[in-house]
Amino acid sequence: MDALSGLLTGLAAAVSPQNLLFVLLGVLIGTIVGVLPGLGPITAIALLIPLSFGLEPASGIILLSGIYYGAMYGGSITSILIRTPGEVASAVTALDGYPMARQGRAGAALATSAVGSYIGGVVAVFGLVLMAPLLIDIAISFGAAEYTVLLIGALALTASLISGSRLKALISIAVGMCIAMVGLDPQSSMERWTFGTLELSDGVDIALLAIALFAVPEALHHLATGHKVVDADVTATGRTWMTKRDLRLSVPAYGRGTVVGFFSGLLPGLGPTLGTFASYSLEKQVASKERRKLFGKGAIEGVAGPETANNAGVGAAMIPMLTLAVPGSATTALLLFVFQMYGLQPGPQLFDSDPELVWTIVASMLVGNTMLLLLNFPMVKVFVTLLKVPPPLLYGGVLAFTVLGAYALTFSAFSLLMLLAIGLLGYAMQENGFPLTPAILAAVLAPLLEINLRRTLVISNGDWMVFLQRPLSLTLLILFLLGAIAPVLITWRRRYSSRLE
Amino acid sequence: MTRPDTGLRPHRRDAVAGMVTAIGGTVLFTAAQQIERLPGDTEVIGPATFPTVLSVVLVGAGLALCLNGLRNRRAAGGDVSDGDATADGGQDESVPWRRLLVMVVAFATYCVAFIPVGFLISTFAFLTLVASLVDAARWKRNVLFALGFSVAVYVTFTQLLVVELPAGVFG
Repeated sequence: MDALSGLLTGLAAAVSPQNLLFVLLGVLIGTIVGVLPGLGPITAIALLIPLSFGLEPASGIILLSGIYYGAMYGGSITSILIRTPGEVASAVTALDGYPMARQGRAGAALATSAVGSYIGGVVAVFGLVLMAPLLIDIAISFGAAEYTVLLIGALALTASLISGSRLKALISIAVGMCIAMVGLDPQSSMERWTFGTLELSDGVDIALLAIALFAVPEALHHLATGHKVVDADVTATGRTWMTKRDLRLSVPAYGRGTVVGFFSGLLPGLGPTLGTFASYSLEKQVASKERRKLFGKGAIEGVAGPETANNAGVGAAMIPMLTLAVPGSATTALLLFVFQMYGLQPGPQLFDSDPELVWTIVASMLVGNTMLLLLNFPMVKVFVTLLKVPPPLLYGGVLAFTVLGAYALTFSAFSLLMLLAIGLLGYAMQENGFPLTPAILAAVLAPLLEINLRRTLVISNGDWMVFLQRPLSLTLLILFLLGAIAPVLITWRRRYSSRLE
Repeated sequence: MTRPDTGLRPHRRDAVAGMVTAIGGTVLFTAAQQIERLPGDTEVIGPATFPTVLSVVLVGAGLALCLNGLRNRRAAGGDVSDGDATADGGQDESVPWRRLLVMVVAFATYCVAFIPVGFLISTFAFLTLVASLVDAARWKRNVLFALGFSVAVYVTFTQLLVVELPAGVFG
């Protein structure tokens, strides 16, 4: 099926009353969970996977994708109002969004973020329509060697983009991969790290891992610190709209943010995160001298660009996930798991075997983004009241949901023990500054990496040079090496120039 | 975005965290050596290869983190901002150990009691307890919330979403 006509067919299916309802439900729940402080898209999807058990694949995936971008938007609201981003990607929004809110310009910040997100999200869908056929063509010529290089590259890039210690990111990746190794070896069915327990031979469920690593530590932390009320002042949001001047400053930032966000979102392992950071520094670079001084003190471009890049990146990150089955971010990794839960394997074959499903999901992204835009202007004040839910009730409820979610995955007591064990591990990691997102991504990518590496070496009779001999894998290797060197060069240059100043 | 460097403490924590990682890696490494191969399996990468490599990475990275922590601790006040992961959900205030312990025990008990006692009673008890541990003065609100939450979630999941929850003592 031609991509554009595919999108149109998908659109027709996506606006059926039933699917519309699921999109609406998804973006609403997503926004609500995203607004709750400390809970981001990963937590939202992981906690709500049980909701989708009884649904058909299309409806379930539409619901959970809706939760994804709804939570992204909800996260922007908290970033701007109380400087508590739900995930790394929206941390940038707080840099200028929060100062704007402090100056009583929260309404303008929220408006530019909503409009930017919409533009980014919609353009990304059309980008997907253009790029998907291209990537499918490439994907078909991919062998095990290329996938191996791609997956290693994805893991390496994940470690490179962490704000804190690289060493801790590396440990986090290794922990995630180790957890994925538990169970039966897929090739020889030998037991690995099961320590003699029957239950462990099934391995650790990715959804359980996500719930345990994200929701449990966050909730435990808040309950242990024991705040009775939210101590942020979020009453004065003002009118949710921009002045002409705001708009004039925002529009070019939307354009730049879309481009930056889309292309960095395409990169496996990076997802939208790189895009938001890159967009912020780009906005700072192109700003006039007087405007540049305002960055970090409430420059609206600093909100508009990254927010656009963020949502463009979300859409773009779906492309490698759908066409190559290589997720671009921890959240898309979780969505990949959801596909597999329904017995669907993303990749070029899925576009052939079930085009309607794929395009319905893609089209639902258009519908969802539109709904978010329409919902958020009138309803922002309602969402903001959620910020005042007393923490003991909120995080107590979150913990109850983690137990419910873990139980609903397997209906076994063992799941609950795993939840407890991994939750405490996650808590210890979080309190010591280990980033947790790489662990989830690594847990999803590790089995894929292992199987492709083994396949490659079987085909090549154990010759490791195969990665250099295949032109496609060599090209990928070179690209990743460049990608790995570039950030080092950029930091070096930045240090050098800041020393000059 | 970055957590204010509180001096020695984060470095000492890094040293401990690195040590723990290295010890965990060693345990996994030992366990990885016991993973068997199928008889006649001559492939370059067997079932134990990935686990072995990963546990070695854990040991190496753990030791490196530990040494870094020790070194930075000696060079106190240095400009090393390890441990600032605020953007990734990291935290910027210290946690009272006592209350943390109580919360962990409550959560563990909830996990264990969930199936035998049943969703309704265990959830109601857990929520009332944790909320009252934080804000005892508002116990009436906590009880009402716990009751409303457990009943609403139970009805939604068992009736609307057809996901069965443990009935426990009611079953």
